[in-house]
Amino acid sequence: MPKPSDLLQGTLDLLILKSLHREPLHGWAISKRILQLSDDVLCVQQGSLYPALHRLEQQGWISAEWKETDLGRSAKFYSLTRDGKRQLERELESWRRLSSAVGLLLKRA
Amino acid sequence: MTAARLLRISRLRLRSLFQKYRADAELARELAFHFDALVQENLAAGMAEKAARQAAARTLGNASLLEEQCRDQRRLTWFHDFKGDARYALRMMRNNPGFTAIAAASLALGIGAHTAILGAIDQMAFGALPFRDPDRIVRIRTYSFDDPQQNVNASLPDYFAFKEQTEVFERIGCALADQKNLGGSENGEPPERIYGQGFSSGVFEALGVRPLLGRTFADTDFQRGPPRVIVLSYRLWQRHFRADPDVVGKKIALNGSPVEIVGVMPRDFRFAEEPPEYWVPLSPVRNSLQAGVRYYVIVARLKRGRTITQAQGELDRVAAQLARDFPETHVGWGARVQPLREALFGWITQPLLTMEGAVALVLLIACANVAGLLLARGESRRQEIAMRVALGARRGRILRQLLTESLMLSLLAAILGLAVAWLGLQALVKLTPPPAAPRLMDIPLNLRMLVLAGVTAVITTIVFGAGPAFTIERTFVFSRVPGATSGRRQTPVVRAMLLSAQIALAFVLLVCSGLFMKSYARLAGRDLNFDPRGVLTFDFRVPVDRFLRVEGEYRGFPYMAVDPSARDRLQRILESVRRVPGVESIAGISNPPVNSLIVPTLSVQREGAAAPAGDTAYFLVTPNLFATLKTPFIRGRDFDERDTPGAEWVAIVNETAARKVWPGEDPIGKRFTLDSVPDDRPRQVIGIVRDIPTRSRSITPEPVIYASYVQQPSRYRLPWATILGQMTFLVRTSGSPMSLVAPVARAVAEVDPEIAAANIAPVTQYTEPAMRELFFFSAIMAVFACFAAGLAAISAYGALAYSVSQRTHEIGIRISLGASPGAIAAMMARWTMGVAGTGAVVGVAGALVLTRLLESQLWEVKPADAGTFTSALILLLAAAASACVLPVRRALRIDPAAALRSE
Repeated sequence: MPKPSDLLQGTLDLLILKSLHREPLHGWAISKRILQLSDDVLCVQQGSLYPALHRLEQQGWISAEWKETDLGRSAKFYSLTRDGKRQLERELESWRRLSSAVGLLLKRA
Repeated sequence: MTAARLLRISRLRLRSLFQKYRADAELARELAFHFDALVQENLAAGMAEKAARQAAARTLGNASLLEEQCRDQRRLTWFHDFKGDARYALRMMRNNPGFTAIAAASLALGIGAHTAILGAIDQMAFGALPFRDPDRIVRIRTYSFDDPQQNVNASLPDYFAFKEQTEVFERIGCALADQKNLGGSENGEPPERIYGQGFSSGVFEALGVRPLLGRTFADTDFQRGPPRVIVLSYRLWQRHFRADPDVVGKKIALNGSPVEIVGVMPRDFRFAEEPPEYWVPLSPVRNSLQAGVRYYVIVARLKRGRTITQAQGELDRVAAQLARDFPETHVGWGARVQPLREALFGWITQPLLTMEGAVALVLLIACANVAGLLLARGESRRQEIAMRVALGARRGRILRQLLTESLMLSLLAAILGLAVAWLGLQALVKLTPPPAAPRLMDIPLNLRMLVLAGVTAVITTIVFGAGPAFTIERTFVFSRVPGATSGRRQTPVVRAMLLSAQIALAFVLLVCSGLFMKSYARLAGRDLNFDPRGVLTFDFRVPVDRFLRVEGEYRGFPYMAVDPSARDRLQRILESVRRVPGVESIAGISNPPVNSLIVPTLSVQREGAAAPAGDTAYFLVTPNLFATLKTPFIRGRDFDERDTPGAEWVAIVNETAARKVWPGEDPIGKRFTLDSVPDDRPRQVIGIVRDIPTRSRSITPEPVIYASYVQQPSRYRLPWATILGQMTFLVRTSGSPMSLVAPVARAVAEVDPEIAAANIAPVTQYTEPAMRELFFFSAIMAVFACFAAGLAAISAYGALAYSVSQRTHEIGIRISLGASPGAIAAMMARWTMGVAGTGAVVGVAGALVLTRLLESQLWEVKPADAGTFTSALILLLAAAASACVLPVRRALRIDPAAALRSE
C-alpha cells in the first residue's frame, strides 16, 4: 500500500477534489471515500489529509461548513466551490495528459 | 483569480488573523471528530474500549504537530511569529535600558535629521507649485562663456530675439525689478517705498496664474509712460490696504500719479528670489534706456508636447544669431532654459544636498555603532540562542527574531526621529538666511515625511541589523551546546571593520566641518578697514527717467545725457540729514561698501602708458566718506570743497589699486583716465586708503578707484550711467543707529516727497548676511561631525571594554608571569589604535575625494587643506586614545589570582 509521500505531488489534491465532486463530506468520510473508491489501495493518512484540506480551503478551492452528520454529531463538511470545480477540471486534464504519457512510455519502452 | 475566490481567501485570512482562537478551537473539534470516528471503527472491529482509544491515538500520531501543520496552511504564521518576536524584543529593550537609550538616540538623530532634510528637498522637487502645468514653465537665463556657472538675466535684444525667432514657446514675457513710492492709503497707512516688478504682456499667461481678486493685465494696459494700473501682492494688500475686499477699482498714488488697482494676487504667488509686492505693466522698447543691460527676467511657457531639450536647441541657434547681430555685446554669451523648479530652488539645492550627505554619513555611523552594540550583546546571548537551536529553531527563524529586535529598535528610533525632524525643520526655518526662509516655512510634517521616516527606519534596520544577525547566527548556531565557548569567532573581525568604518566616516565629516569653519573664520576675521558700529545706511535712487536722456548708441549701449539735477538732489539729502540731531557725520557712496551684487568696473589707462592697466572697481563718493567710516588714509587727502566740477579732477585709490596700477611707484600726483566715456577727463590721484572689501563673500581685496560724484562728465553710457543718480548714504550716529531711522526718513522725505529712503538699516545689513549663512552652515556641520566623532569614540570604548572583559583570564596570566603595566596597556591599546589608524587612512582617502564636491561652497579655503586634515586626524586619534583610558585602567587593575580562579 503506497504511503501518501509515494503519491505523485499534487495527486492528493486531485483525489480530495474528486471525492468532493458529488456531495459535501467531512475529513473522515473523505479518507474513507478515497479508500473505498480505490479498492482499499489508496490510504490517505490524517497527517497529510488535514493539512491538505486546510490548504485547499485557504486557496479558495473548497469551502467548509459545520453540519450534523447522519448520527447527529456536528462535523466540518467540505464542499467544492465554483472555482474549485474549475480547478478540478484543470487537475483532471493534466492528470489525463500525464497518465496517458506515462502509459505510452511504458507501452513503447 | 476570480473575484469570488479573492473575496473568499481574504475572508479566511481575516478570520485567521482576528478570530484566531475560534479557528483553533474549530481545528481541535475537527480533529477530535476524526479521533472519535477512529475509535468507533476500532470498537466496531471488536477492540476493547481502552485498546480502541490507544490504537486511534497511535494512528493519529502527534496531534499538536498535526494542528501546527494545519495552522501553517493559513499563511499567517509569520504574523504570529512576528507578534511574539516583537513582544520579546520590547521586553529585551526594557531590560537593557542603557543599550536601548544609546542605540535609539543615535539612530533617532540620524533618522530625524535625514527626514527633515529629505522633507525639505522633497518639498522643492515635488511640492505643489501654485501654477497651472508648472512643468511647462521655464525661465531663460544668459551666461558668459567665461563663467558658465553664473546665470545672468537677459537684455532686451535677447528678449526680442527669443520671442521672435523661436517657436517652442506658447507664451513668453519679460519682467523687470521695479520700485515705487506708494502714497498713503485712505485708512491712514503712511506712504512707503515698495519693491515690485514690471510684467510685460505674456508673463501672467506664461505662468498660468489667476488673481485672487479682480484681473491681471489686459492688452490695453500696456502703454508707454507711467503705469495706469497695478496688481497688488497678497502681502501689500494685507498690510497697506488692511485686506480691503473692495480694493479693486480704487485709485492709489504711485510716484505721485493716480493708478487704478485692478487685481490682487494669491498669497503664494511668487517666482523670483525676492517676493515682489506689486506688479505694473511693462512695455519693453527696443532702444529704451536700459535695453543693453542684462536685467530682464524672461519667463516662457512651452507649447504642449515640447521639451526642454527642443527649447534649448532653439535658444542655442538664437544665441549664435545674436552674437552675429550684436558682436560688441553678445560674442561669448549663451542662453539656457531653466525649468521653473530649478529657477526657484536651484540655489539652495546644493547646501541641502551637502547637509543630506553629512546626515547620511551620520546615519551610517549610527548604524555601525548600533551594529557593534548588537554584536557585543549577541555574545552575551550565546546561551539563549544555542538553547533555541537545541529546541529545534531553524536558522531563518533565529535570523528573523534577531531582525525583528532590530526593527523594533529602529521603529522606536523613527518615532523619536520624527520629533527630531520637526525640531530640525523649525531650526532650518529659523536659522536659514532670510531669502530661503519663506520657502522652507511651508514644509509641513506631512504623510510623506512619516513614510520617509518609516522607510528610513526599515533601511536602517537592514543596514545595522542584517550583518550582526548573520554573524551571531553563524557563530552561535554552530556551537550547539549551551555554554560552550568554542566555535568560530567572527565577531572581533566584524567589530574591527565596523569601528574602522565609523572612524573613516567620522573623519570625513570632521574634515568637511573643519573646512566650513575655516571658511567662516577667514571671512569673519577679515579686516573691514572701517568701523561698522553706529553706522546707519539707506539708499536713495533718483528715477532714471528724471535725469537720463538717450542721445545715441556707443559700443552697443545707449548713450545718454546726464542732467545735473540728480547730483543736486543727492547734495540736498546730505545737507538735510546732516541737520538731524544725533547724526555725527554723513557721506555717500554709489554702491554699498561691502556689496554682494554687481560692482561697476572700469578699465584704467595710466597717463603715458601704452596699454590699459586692467579693470578696477569704481565708486562715486561724497567728501567725508572715509572719515565717516573711520577708514584710515595711508597717505594723501580726502575729497573736499576744493574739488569742484571746474577744478582739476581727482581720485582716491585703495592700497591694492596703488600696488597693481602703479607697482613700485608712488601713485600720489599721477594721472589716469577711465574708459567710461570719451570725455571723461584725466584724474590725478590725491590719496591712498586702506582696502575696504567690495564683495561680501571674498577676502581677496580688489583694486578700487573712488572718484568725486561732482566731478563727472555730462554724458555717460549704460550700464553704469545709473550710478550718477544713486547713493548709499552712511550716517555715523552718536547713539543707537536704529533710533535715528524715523528722523532720517523724515529728513529725506523733506527733500523729495516722491522718493523715499530705501533699506534703512545698520551697515551690518551688508556685512553680515553672508557670514550668518556660512556660520549657520558650519555650525550644523560641526554638530554633525562632533556627534559622529562621539559615536565613534563610544564604539571604540565599547569594543575595547568588551575585549578586556573577554581576555581577563589571559591578562591575569600575563600579569602573574611578570608583564609590566606598560606592556599590558600597550597590548590593549594596540588593537584600538590599529583599527583607528586603518579608519583614518580610509578616511583621508575618502575625504580627499568627497571634499572636492564642496569646492564651490568654500571661500578662500582649498578642499585639500592640509591644516584641516591634520587637525581632524589629531582630534580623531585623540578621541580614540581617550576611549582606551578606562578599559586599559580596568585591565591594569586585574588581580591575577582572581582572574585565574575565574575559569
